[in-house]
Amino acid sequence: MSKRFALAFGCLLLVAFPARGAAPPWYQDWNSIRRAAAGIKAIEAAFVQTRTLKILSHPLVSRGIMAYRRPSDLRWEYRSPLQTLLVVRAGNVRRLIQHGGVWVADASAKLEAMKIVLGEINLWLDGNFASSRTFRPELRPGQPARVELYPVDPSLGKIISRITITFAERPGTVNAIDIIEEGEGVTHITFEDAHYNRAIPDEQFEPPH
Amino acid sequence: MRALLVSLLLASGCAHLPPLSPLSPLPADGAHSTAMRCRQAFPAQPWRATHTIFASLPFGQNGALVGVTAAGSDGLHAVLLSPEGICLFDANQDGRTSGLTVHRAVPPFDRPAFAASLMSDVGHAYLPPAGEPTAIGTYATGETVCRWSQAGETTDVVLRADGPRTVRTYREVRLTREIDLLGSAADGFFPAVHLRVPGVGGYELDIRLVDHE
Repeated sequence: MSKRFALAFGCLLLVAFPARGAAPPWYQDWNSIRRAAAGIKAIEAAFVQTRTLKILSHPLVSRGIMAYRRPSDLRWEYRSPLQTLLVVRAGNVRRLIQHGGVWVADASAKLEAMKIVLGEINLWLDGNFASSRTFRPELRPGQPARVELYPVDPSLGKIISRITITFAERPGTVNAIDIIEEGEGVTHITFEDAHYNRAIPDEQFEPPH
Repeated sequence: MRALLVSLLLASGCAHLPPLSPLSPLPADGAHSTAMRCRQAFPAQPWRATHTIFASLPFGQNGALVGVTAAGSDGLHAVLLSPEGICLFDANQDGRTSGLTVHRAVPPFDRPAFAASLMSDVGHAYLPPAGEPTAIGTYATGETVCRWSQAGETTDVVLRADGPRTVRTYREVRLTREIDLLGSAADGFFPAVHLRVPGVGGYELDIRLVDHE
């Protein structure tokens, strides 16, 4: 019992008083987060999105890929069960759905809640959480370190109660995103097979021909 | 102009449900086995299912959603999610009173008629009409049909050699929905369902089964 207590106390001390000389974590404050994010020029990754719902006994799983290139080019593509594509190049946003083997324009891009979340992705990738006028960020430096984003506008708060961005070990990178809705339901997005700072061709950020 | 008006009046005056001829030959068990086959158009309750939905709306307003539905003795529960997983619509229709409770409706799914229309689409595609068919017969084209008529609404389930293939609903004599059941059903769930609402403001839904339990 006393051994266990000593171990727990030791761990607590390590967390509270890290060894002298250890570099502060990259997510120590907003400035260090922005500096770390600036080192990430491009990201390519696969993602898995799980959505829990009370009426389903197991979560709904969606899969896709994403690509990001500084300053603001983005590809966010769902491959299953829906096939949808969002591409942003030089501020031009296109949203498409694959139907019957062809890509067609998606009018649901007009949905306000989606626009807000997608519009925020660039700020997140920039490490620029504090500049958001839509969400009030709170930095939680524990393990795992994360940012919690609370909607500023109460009408958005009726849809999304908060978004949690969990940081990865590599400076400037994100491990997971959780979108917690008012009432019930969490959308959990994790990234895997990520590649950083590789050259990404322009076509990745353009709608398919 | 007068000719056009007369033609329209005549057309509306002549509008009627597709007539049914008696089954010939009549099956040995009367029409019982035919009614059973018609019911195979709908999954046995209780069930839960996840679908992808591609909506073709007027003026090229296309959209893609994920639909999660559950049906049982307590009624029908329908949830619409954006591809990003955000809940856009969540409603229950009571199994006894048919009363509709909307738990969440994010714009533009908060329009007054949307909830009733969505529940009606889901209900007609996945819930069998109540009671026994009021008529069983054949269309002039030779297809076997089970017909349920109640309170001005008629539902026709059209059978082909391999089972139910089309569900049509009418309000009085006006076609309100045409639902094609595509592929081979498993537990009453077809891999794909195509729903068409005709007329001004009409739309089409391409519904693909993802999972059911």
